[in-house]
Amino acid sequence: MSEPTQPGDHLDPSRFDAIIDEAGPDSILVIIDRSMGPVVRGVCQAEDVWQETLALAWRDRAQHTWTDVRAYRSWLITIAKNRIRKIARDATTEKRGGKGTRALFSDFEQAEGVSSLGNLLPAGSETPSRVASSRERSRVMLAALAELPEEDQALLQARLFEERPMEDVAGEMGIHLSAAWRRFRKALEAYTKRLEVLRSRSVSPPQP
Amino acid sequence: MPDDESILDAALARFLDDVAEGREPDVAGAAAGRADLVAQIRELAAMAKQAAPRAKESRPVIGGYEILGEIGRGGMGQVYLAEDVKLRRRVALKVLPQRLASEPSRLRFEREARAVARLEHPGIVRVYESGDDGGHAWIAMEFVRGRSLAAVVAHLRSLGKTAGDITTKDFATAAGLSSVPPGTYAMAAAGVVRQVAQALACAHAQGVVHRDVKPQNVILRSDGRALLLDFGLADVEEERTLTIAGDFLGTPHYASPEQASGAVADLDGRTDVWSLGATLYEMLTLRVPFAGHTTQAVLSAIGTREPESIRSSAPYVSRDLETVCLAALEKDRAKRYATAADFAADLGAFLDGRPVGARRVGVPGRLRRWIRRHPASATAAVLAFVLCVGTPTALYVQQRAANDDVRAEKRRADDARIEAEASQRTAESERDNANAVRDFMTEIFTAADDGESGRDTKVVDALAKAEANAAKKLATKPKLRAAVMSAVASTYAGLSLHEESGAMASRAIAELEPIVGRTDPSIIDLHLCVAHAARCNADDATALAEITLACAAAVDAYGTDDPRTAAVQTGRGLVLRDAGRTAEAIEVLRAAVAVLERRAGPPDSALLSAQMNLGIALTEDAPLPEGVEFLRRAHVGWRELLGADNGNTLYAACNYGQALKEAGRLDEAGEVMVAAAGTARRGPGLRADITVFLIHNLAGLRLDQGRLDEAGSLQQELADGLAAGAIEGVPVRSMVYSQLARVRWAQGAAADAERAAIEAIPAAWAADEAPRGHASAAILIAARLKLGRVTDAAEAARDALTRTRAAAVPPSEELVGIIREVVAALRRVGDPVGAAALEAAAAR
Repeated sequence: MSEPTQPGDHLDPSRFDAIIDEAGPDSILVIIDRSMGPVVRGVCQAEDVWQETLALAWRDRAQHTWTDVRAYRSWLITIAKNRIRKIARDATTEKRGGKGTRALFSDFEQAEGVSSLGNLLPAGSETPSRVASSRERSRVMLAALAELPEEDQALLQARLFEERPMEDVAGEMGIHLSAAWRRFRKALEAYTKRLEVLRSRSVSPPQP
Repeated sequence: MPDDESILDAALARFLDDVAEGREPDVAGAAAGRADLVAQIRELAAMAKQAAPRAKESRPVIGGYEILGEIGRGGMGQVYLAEDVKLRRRVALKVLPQRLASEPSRLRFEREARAVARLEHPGIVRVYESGDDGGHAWIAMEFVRGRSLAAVVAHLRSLGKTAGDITTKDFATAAGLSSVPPGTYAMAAAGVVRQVAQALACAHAQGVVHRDVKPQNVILRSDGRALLLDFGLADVEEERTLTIAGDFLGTPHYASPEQASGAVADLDGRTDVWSLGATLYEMLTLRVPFAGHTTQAVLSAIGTREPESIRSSAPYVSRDLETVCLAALEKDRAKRYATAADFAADLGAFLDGRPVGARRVGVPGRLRRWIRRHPASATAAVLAFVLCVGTPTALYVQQRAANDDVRAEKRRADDARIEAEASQRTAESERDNANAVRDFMTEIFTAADDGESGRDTKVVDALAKAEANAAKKLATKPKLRAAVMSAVASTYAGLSLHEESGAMASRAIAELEPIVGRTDPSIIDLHLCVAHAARCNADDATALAEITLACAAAVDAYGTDDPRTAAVQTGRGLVLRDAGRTAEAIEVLRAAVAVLERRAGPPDSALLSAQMNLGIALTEDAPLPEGVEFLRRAHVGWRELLGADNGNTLYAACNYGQALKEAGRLDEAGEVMVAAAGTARRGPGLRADITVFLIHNLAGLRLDQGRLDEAGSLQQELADGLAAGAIEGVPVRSMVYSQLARVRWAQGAAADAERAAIEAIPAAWAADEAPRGHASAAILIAARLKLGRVTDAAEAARDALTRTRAAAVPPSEELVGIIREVVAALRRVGDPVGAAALEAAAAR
């Protein structure tokens, strides 16, 4: 889609949108959604977490040592999961009478063509304007996943979406590597079949 | 030998990586000679591509544009942010889905594309191309980032203020502008509408009538540029084949009376003028001019009622602007502005402080409008009026019109004769005037009392007496008196006594312009003095008004292509630049340079001034090579004309050196700056601002080049000058100490950096320089952390947050980052309460 990423690209405001595109925002939203428990869902949406993740990724960009897009994507996922944990902690604190109200990005006035993230992203970034379409595509993926057994969903999330090494995933599941791969292939087959059906029905932009 | 399952596992693992990295899965390679597994492996490749979380093929492509996301939808389809897959250009892609594609809709869609494609104007969103892709008609247009006027007005309404209390800051915030426009909110609104009127003028000239002008169809960019979009209902002159009889198309609140009445076949550009007038009305009053609960009610009001007075709800709006707005809202289109260009011109006149062309409605007109507003009450009032005034009023009006024609003709003949005589006298009179002024001034200064101390005191006293003396001794010689006043005002300006200069010039203009005329050279110079004084007071509006008067007079006096006019236009370019209207400034200055360059002989002050100011304007946002070249020419020219130590030469060196630095030509920049700084030190010394700027810029260059010792030494020289009182001024203090803090921090001298930052911070905030305030605060905090004084660092952080909040500006990322480090440091030293408090303060 765009020129190959180079070290330092993640520091360049003009490359921010392209880097985020490369990192696969649709599937990151899937991970975010699946990582949100009922407490977090009660106070915000997956898009809120993603937008906060974007803002933090830009703000703390100097903290990330660039290797490749995969590593950057992992970093984004880590930020997102940390945000979810913080939101859960804050929500629990509020319930116990602690201070602090949470302003959601989705609460901010959405003017036409203006990002609600304001100054928190590089000037001219269009990434926020694409969250809606990313969300739409991620919903299709989630719907396809939801029809699989929970263990297969977790396996696909870990290996396919989070791109973690199968050795680690197999170890967490307590199964042999070859068994994990076998299971993964079957789950992937079921997932892709379901995905194909759902995508053909979705109300995304017209397909030529 | 690996088994089948292992081969398939390995293939899938490889394919997932391949797809994630944008590589095509190598099925043959993965099969590794196992032809019996190729089919299964191929299936795995397909699955990997379909399911891959970072797959790039998931976005639909229409007409060669990859859809990135939806940005709007309306009656005529959806609008997407898309990217040209070949050119990588972002566009707004308007798509008419198949399911909406009735024949009239499709024809309308295509007509929009054709209508806008032929329009080229900075105020009209460009159409790149259009087409059809599998039954989906599409138009690719320029993608404009900004806010619609509708959103801006809605935001302003939400503030809960009356229209009269809306400020330009409110407007800038509502519109997401990168800077607050000068003047009042009404002027800002007029400026926006003027831009749209100019765009409409272009469209109308091409035979395109928009027919749906409304706030939703005007986008404001962050730089204040307004663009008109959505020509979906545009009427193209030679394409009037669509029948829309009886259909009301358009948005009712902004529909013209002719649209409201259904006479759509006869629409012309004046319908857009009306709609734009309604838009201006809404911006000024925060309400639509005609309201109603139903479309029919609104259309009926448009046709029959007059809008409420603008000044009744927005008394801050000047009469002139109200007149202009209401002229656009004339129900009888024969009385409306004939063209959008006329509307734009009158808005421009209002903004420039010139008389507007539109005339307020007279008594008979006001009565007619009052009747329209209050039909039930009108009858008795009309009867009373007719009985009191009756027919003579009509007769008076007709006779006056006839007399006006005769007088106008006589005036034209007189003017021609006077002009011919004046040309002959001008050359003689200018020479005589110059001599007389010199003699008068000499007499004034030599008559100044001896024994008073100080050369400057004598000059100022003499100038103070000059005005009174001129009034007495030159009472019967108004032209000479004007020339003397011009000389005195210029002398005041030369002594930086700008208030005195401006005041004296204003008095002289008021008294003498009616006598000697606006095109008298001295009167033109006096306007320039007032403009200059206003510039020095940062009063852009007055400066622009005065310089515009001077330019108009110069054009009339000397002609457009005269170097004297070009010299005055240079001043206008300067004022436009000060007002942030850089593009206009460049245009004006280019024209001035072109005229002045045509003059024979070596460059003179006028040309060099024009070149330098053009160079400054061209390099304002980026060091354009053309701009750098103009600055070089100005620098060389001033040096040859006036010498290396002249103020103009040093000023030119300062700008040229800085432009070279920004262009990355650091060695050349260093050469220019070192030479000029040395000359300035030996000449005017540190007391002159130019010397301070030259040394400061050179220090900044050395800092960028990593030559920290030199940078430190230069910056310390300035700091020492400030400490000794040789240099004064809060903005200079902020500039010098903040850069000193940067240099010391770069040198690793945390304690010195702390001291410099402590000096810089209050000066920066006092000078309203938030970026310097933030940068210096960040250095102060960092220095204290480095010195191990976490508590002091926290105190500095709190102070920075307090100042930031008081100034109502967002903190810089750098400041936010360093405050986070302080929070972490507080936790490390066992102060979680302090950490939480600081974190909470930062989050607020």
